[in-house]
Amino acid sequence: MTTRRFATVTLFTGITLTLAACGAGSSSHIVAPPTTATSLPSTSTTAATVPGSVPASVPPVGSPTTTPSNGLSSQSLDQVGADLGALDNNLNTANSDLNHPQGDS
Amino acid sequence: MKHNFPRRMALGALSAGAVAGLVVMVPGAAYASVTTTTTTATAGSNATTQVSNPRCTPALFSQAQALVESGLSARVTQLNALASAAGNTANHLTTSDRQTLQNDITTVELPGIQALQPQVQQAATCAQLRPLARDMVYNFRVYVVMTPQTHLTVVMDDETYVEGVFVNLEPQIATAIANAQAAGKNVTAAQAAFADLKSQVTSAQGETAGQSATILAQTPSGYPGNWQVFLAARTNATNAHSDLHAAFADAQQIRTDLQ
Repeated sequence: MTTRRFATVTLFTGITLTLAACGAGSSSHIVAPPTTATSLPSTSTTAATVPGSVPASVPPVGSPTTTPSNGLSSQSLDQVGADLGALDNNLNTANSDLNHPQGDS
Repeated sequence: MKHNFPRRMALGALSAGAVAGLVVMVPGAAYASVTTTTTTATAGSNATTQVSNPRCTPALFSQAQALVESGLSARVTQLNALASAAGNTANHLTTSDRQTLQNDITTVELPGIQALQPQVQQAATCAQLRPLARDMVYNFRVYVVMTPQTHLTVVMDDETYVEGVFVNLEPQIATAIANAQAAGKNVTAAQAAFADLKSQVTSAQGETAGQSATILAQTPSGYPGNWQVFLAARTNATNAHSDLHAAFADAQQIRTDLQ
């Protein structure tokens, strides 16, 4: 049981590194939005760098930081949530333009 | 959503005929010191009919001139706001889209409107004022083309960006679910949420594909025909927005399920 648990933790740590690289790129807005996102990047449990992103501080392997327990970090989701919040505001602005145009001008 | 332009055009034509010789033949907004606004609420939209007063006569020239000056000033303010939105790096405009918007706003629209300002100040008659007022509206379409064009492009590019974030997360989510399953966890709900997440993202991608290019291709001279283009883009943006929020809820559900 202990060995199995250790292996699971090791795997999740690898996923964490991957998400850390991804999350860093997202938070700095350097990840280029794919125009044709039809192909998924290959699945990896290593510290892979997302194309177009700049990996920032990657925690050392095994460090007891804010390692997510399931491969979907709060940081990543929080960033998506923030992006969606900004999107909400921008969509509201566009709706206002179209619902209340300032004359025929 | 239906823009009431045909009705407005009809009213404008009627008014023009009724007071021929007195009416300044530009859209009402240009001289709208006193504007009667009739708003009809329809499904999710407002159709507005404006009747403007005064019209340019020798006796009212100063008022008309002041109104055009005010209209120009307001457009300068609006264009500066649009330039700020286009230059705001907090949004996710692509480099090329940002450049296109900034170029249109700051090198075409803004200088064009600003060039009219001294001409309007120097105008001394209604005959001189009318073409300037007309140019202000017809040549630049600040409110009904440039404004929705800028904001809708920001929305589309924001959505495209978030789609990309989800696509980048999908392999990690798949691995996390597989690992949890291998560890003996019941991942049925997580798998279902993940399937829905992928479906929602794919749907959003379909809604936004090519939209920014379509929006940016619209020009002031294309109004009012391009109003429908903006409305269609808004529908797509709204649908993609819903899809992305659903995908986000799925991601949150997966995270909870795997904890």
